[in-house]
Amino acid sequence: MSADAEPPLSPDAAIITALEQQLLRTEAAERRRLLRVLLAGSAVRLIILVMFPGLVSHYLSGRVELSTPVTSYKRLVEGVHLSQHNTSPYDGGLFHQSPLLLILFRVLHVLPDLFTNLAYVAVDAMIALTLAKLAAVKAAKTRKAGGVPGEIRFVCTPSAIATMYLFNPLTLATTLAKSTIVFSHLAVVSALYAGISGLTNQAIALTAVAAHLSLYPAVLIAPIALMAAATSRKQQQNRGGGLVAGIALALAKFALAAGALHLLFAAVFGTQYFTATVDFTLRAADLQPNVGLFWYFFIEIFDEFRSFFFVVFQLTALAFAVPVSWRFRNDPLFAGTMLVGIISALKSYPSWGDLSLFLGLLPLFEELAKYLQYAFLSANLLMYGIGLAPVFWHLWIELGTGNANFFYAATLVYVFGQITLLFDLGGAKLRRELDIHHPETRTRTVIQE
Amino acid sequence: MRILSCAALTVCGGLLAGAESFTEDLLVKPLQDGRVLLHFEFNVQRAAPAANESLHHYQLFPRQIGEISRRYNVDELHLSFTQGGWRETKWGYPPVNSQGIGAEVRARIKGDDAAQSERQWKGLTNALSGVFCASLNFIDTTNTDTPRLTFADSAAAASGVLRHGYLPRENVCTENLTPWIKQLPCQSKSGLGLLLNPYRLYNADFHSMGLSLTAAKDASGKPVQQYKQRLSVVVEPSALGLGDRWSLAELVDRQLGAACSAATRSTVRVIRPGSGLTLAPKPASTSKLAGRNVSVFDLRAQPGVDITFEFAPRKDSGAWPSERPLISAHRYVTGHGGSNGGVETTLTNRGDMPVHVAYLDVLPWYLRVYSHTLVIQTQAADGSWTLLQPKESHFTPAIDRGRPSSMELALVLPASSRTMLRYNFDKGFLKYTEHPPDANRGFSIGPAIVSYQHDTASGELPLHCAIERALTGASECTVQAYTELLLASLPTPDFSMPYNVITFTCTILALFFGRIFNLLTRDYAVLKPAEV
Repeated sequence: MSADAEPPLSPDAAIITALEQQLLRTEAAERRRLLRVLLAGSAVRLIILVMFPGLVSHYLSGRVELSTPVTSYKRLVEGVHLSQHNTSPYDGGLFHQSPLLLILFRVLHVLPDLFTNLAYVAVDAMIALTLAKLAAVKAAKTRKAGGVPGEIRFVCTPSAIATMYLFNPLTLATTLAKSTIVFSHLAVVSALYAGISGLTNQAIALTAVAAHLSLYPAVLIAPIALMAAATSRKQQQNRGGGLVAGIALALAKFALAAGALHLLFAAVFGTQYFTATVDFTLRAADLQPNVGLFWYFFIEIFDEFRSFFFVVFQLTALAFAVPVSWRFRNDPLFAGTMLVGIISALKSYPSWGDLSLFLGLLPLFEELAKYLQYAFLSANLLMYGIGLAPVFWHLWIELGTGNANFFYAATLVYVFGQITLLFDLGGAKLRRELDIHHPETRTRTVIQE
Repeated sequence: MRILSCAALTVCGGLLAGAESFTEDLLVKPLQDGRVLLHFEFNVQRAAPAANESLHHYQLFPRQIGEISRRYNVDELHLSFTQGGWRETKWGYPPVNSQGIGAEVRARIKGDDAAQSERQWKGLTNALSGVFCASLNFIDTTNTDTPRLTFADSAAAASGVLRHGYLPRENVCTENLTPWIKQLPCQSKSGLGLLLNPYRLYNADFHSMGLSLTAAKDASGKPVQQYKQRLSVVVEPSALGLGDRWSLAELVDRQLGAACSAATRSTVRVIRPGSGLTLAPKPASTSKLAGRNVSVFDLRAQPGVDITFEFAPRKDSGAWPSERPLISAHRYVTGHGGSNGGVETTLTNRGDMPVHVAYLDVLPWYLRVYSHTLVIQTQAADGSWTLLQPKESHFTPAIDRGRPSSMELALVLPASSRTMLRYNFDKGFLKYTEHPPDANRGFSIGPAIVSYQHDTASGELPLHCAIERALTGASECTVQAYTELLLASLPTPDFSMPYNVITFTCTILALFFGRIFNLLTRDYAVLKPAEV
């Protein structure tokens, strides 16, 4: 750990430890490590998909925790089959996925099965690669930004974040179940990376694609708009009016992109596709159990209150986009992560795949780890929720000895675990910002008021 | 003056009455296992009314049916109530084409306007529900489908859509029989209506009651409407305490009396087995039907006749020709657990020629059918399996709470083969209020229908075709084989929990809202030492 000929370290840079310096010096080694991780992750997925197709198609793809009516691969195959036989797949109650996926899989199904498996493996690898690039951008920013005096930082290396994403059992299970949420995740992560790197138009286009693939990522336009405004301000080197104009411009571009896609699909598939995808997601019309809050509630609610509670639930999920983005406007990437977490907890058809994306973005903010107050609680809640859900499902559906309440309780615990993690994360961020701006408070008690 | 008008009316009535004709027949067929099939047929035929006629005169033709068919623009109507399974291996071909358990309504409504046609169908089922005291008003868009291939023989040159509604759980009882009897010209006061004893009719192994209204052309080519009421029961004499010798009056516990004066033909026909049956008194005539000897008793010539049946003790079943139908179909549900399953249908072709069949399978919307999992395999006589491709296939996917999923296939079943047809489905989850009161029983699913044209040149005709040919001279023979019902038990939520679920879920939402709201609106501030 000897120091070579280097520029003298400024007091702020003193926060970077020797360990990190060594890591930064070996960027080429880091790239090789990342490549090895990506190859290992892809190899594991490909081997399981090719060698155990029975496990995949009969066991995993039917699991309700992994595939929902809007992301199920079996339904996608049915939709492709119907469209190949001159029946509109949106003219039925089975297929609720985006026309983009329909087109993609019509092409893939002409090719042998191996290409579908390769597509899923490639998507996962690209998500991991984009997360790694995000980590690199964040690391570069951290070197420039200030920190809390005296803290020890372990900046998340790109290969570490890729490993944590690829070898997360939830991600692995989601890809092996061939849930189509992975495509939405790719669009989301690419949009965040493009936004943070200053490629505004690309970011907005990817957000529009993500919104079409799975409705809820549309709320990410709020942090992306903030990123766009920050980029344009940096480019123009002026202030005043730039923020509002930048946000408005970004929103207009997003509306244009999403509207263009909608018109294209409506021209090809008719407006039935809108009822079957967007309207279906908002109404949560199919009450198939999943790991979310909607299904049991809307099975048991009385008919008179159905519309009212739809509005309440969807508002809770969607209305926090703008306030959360504004609160964390200095770090739009963090706002985006919070929104991904809120979507994962409160969307109408969540799955473990959504949580895997949220957990995949968390290592970017490893500096908040020491500020988390409820880490043990949220970790336990999540583990109980994830571990018990398949057991209770088996008891209810296969054995008939349990009833729906068991699975519902596991769902409640899972969602509460996510919510705990969310508000803990937000609180940690605010506490750290207080520590950065007022370093003298870091040993004092603070309260919220 | 009054006498003159009365006379004029009588003459007019006489003239008009000449346009309606009524015949009634009872078919008695002893079956292979000792049971007896009784098949009542009451036919009213009248000149088809012109579309813009404002005066409607009903004498023999039931006014209820005439007014319903006029009001709802019905071209063709078939309704049947069935209970009990038809055991085809022992009893042969059924006397009716509709042996699906429950209630089945089939109607062709004229007109091109889809919305109006939908309304008229709804009105028709509700009107029939009122007429027959049955819950046919539960037939709505979720259990109605529009088959294209299966009932195609009656398409001919008709316009309008054929709608087919099915209620598998509908029971049939005396309540439904009474209005049906009231539509007969002589009701149960004379003629064969005297024999309709609910105690014996509903104590049977198989019971099917129905009606059909069709448009046809009579011998001179004029359009006529035919209204046929038919009732088939399979009774077991030994269960009623009767031995080898019993009379018709003992079997149905009713005596024949005067013949129906409105009937132009009123007969009892006994289809004799090869040997071993002695009838008394001597029949008025004999004829042949479907290759069997038939003894005909004319009730107008012999009113009040009581026919005695005496069976020789059966030593072997050689006297009973084997009457297995050409095509038989059985359907099963496969899989375990409450989340998904499969349907498997077995179609057996016993003939030595390939047969073209139309297969119709309608599943309700909560069984989500995956049409891409459909696999059809056929096992030839030598035991080898091959894949079979349907000649034509129409699949209409279900819309949630809108319409059922309907699969129609045109298949060619090879000679002497067994064909297995299977596909998978996922079970849907229903709202709390959509489960019936006995939720854990499950839902009955209507049968699949296999329909084919029977070769009329070959000797052995199905019973209903032979009857049709004998009575009306029809040359085509369409046979429909119905499978069994299925029972699909869907996973149920906890019905005692609505309030608890609402409070728990809203608590989680409130926890989220509260904490995030705090994050958004509150700032951290340092706790001053004095405030500790």
